[in-house]
Amino acid sequence: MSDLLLEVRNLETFYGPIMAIRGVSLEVHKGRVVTVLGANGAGKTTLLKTISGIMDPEKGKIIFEGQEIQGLEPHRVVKAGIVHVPEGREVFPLLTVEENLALGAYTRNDKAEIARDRDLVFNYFPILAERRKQEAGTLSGGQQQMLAIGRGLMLRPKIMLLDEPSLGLSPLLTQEIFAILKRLNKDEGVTMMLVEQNAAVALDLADDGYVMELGRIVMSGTADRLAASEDIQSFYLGHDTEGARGERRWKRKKTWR
Amino acid sequence: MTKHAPIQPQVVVNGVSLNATPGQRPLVIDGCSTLPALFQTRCTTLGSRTAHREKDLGIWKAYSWSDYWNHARLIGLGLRRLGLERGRVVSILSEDRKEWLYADMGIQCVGGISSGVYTTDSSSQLAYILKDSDTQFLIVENEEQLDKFLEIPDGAPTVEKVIILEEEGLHDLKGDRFLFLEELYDLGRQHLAEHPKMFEAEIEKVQAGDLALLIYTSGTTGAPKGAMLSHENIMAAIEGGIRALPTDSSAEQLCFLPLCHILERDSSIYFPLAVRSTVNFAESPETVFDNLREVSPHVFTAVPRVWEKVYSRVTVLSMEATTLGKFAFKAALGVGMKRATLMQEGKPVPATTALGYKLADFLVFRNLRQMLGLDRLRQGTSGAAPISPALLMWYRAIGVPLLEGYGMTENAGLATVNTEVDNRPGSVGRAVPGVQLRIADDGEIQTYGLNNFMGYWRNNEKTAETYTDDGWLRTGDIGRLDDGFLTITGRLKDIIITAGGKNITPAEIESRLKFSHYISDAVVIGDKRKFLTCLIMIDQENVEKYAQDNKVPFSDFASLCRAEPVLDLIRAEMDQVNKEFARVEQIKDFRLIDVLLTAEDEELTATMKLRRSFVEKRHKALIDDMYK
Repeated sequence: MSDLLLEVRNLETFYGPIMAIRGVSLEVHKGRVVTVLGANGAGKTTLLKTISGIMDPEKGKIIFEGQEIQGLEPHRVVKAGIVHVPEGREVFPLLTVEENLALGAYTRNDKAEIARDRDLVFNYFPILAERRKQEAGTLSGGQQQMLAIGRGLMLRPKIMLLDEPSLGLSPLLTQEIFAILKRLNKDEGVTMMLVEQNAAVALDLADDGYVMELGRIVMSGTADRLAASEDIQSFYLGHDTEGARGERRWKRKKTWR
Repeated sequence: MTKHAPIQPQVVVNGVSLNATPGQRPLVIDGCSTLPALFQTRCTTLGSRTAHREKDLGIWKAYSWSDYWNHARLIGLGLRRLGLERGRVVSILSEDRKEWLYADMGIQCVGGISSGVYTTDSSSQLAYILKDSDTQFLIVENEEQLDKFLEIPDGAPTVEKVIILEEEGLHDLKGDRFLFLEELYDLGRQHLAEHPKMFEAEIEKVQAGDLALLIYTSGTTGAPKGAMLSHENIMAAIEGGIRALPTDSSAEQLCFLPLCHILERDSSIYFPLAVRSTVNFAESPETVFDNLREVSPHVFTAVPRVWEKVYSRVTVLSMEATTLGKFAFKAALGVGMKRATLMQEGKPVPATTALGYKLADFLVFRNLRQMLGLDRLRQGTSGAAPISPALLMWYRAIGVPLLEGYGMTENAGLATVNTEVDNRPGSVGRAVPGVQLRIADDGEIQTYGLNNFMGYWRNNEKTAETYTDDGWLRTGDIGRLDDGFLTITGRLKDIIITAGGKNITPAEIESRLKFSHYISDAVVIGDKRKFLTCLIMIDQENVEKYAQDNKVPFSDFASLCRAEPVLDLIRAEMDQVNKEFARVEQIKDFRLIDVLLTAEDEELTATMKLRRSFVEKRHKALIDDMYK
């Protein structure tokens, strides 16, 4: 396997007295797409926020390219090469598409290279080129998501943390965005850590995966292995055996094997 | 009423009239010689008093002895209307709930045989039990359990009707083989209107020697066998239980282990019939600790695993406490342990220690017990597996009276128990009144008493193997007696004969390993092998905690089991245990079972013990790896 880029060790993060992440360890290798699956409240978003420095962990280490980065201010984490594309897009609504992208490159000052990267973004997301002068708030949800990803790319990140890019998007748009993410990974070699509830698209894109429940990792492995697991099939992919009566309401117990 | 004048002289123990000499025929409790008769007596006299409580939409609701009687009567008469014959089996496939009791008593009152099936059993296991027991009616809890029945390939032809307790999700269910509980109640009501005194008359017909229950034992080798227990068998267990473990009618209990298991069946259905205590049903196996806090029982029977879990929670909490809290707990525990040890050794407790304990109890333990829901506990018991003496001492130290007992399905669940006055941790206590004990030449523990079962259902061969020529029950366990206190050292058939010809009882080593907080269960391997090895199931919670505290990275359970520091931890525990054994009995190598087993897995019994034969089969690769 390729080089270890990001390593999380025994991370614990709290919201006040509530332990949201109860000892999580995972690895992201260079050039890979790693997905973290889990239900609402499993701690996925908290995990990304802790990595990007928005939240500080109580315990544990986050090691990025051999350096410990846990507890660093978010802007330092960004400088180290980690970009967080937050849940719900969060583009600057009153700024234009171009201005949003320019902000993505805020930490850089190599003008020629920035212009090149903007063209790259426009190449991947042609619709953004069309709307470059439009205020971001007036874009559709899918376009805003593209903008958020594009803004992230403007940093030339070593790793992108993507928090539910499919949230609130139509299945068609979701497919489109995931197809672009796949190309970004294959052609540009962008490493990604992807948090998703839509397990089908996530496992399709990802190389490796982790499943979180109640702040812990309950299962890990290659995306293929996860996709083949009975628990994943029944709880995340909606493939369920129908049972003897052709219908059933009860859920089998999870074993995470 | 089936009250016969007792023939034996009587004595009253905690408000219950018993034969003055235990273990004598006719065995009567408050003048009753069968469970249905005792049930009738209790329901008649206690009427509107609370018999049990169950949570309904999150609120505890009380049900009276009259409710108990009325519902059991409707089930009994309803089944009779459907054609239940005396001496035929009705199987119950449900989690613990009040209807389990209603069905169990209803069936027995009309002369049926009640047989429980574990909800964790698979469809094929259910099929086997239904066929073997020739079940006439099956009671299932809900959709999930019903589906197991529906998946049986040949449709379980002996079963005439299936009664379903919960209608949810089954409105479209068709077929005249199925009916819902309410419909059964309606049939019962019709039958009651036509034959108002029939239920009482049926109770009258039940004889002490009649078969009351069929309990399928887990069967570590071969197919499960149905152990037959008569009314007298259970009454004998109650007689011994009341004398050895006195409780009274004010006691609150919590029911959460499967009622199919003799331990919970005795403690939550039959003993409460005799002592008139109140049973509270836990919502689910997952909520036991919350329910424990809500109920705060006076009497609590659990398996070692549960007591171990409580201990772990306290340890974890104390580690996360403030510095002052940590200090206070440590100091209090020190005094508590000192006092418990002195009392254990029968030495006087010095005034300073006694005073210190009072202070510790007032400042620390009282709150702790309250937090756990053990503040009102008068009697905690542990059974079904060996419990660590250190753990027993720890409970003593924090002021929780915890006693270990021993019994098996074949002797109606109770043979020996430690008592408050006569307690030796590490042993399972003295024989309960009415039961005799002896150790055979090969070390096997044998029991004799009216609690000894009737034999295995339609299996004379196995029955004959279980009894000695002079009628004693061969428990299959080996152990020793020291001034009446029984210590169990292993299972007879599990004896390992190494390639070197040395006889080893693996249970002795396994129990010692299990006493480690990090090891949940272990299976020692080595039959016809050069040396001993071991497969270990780690305690997930405690090992995860250890890994977290010691910065050992892990993701899922398998990776936890692979982590080198975790292996080192278990190795250290193993080395510690090895020191207590002779060279040939020492474990040379081990492997961790890296899947998280659940009760649905064949490798585990319903009380979460590893089954040797299944473990050896399923994890053959791991074993072979150690002997490469």
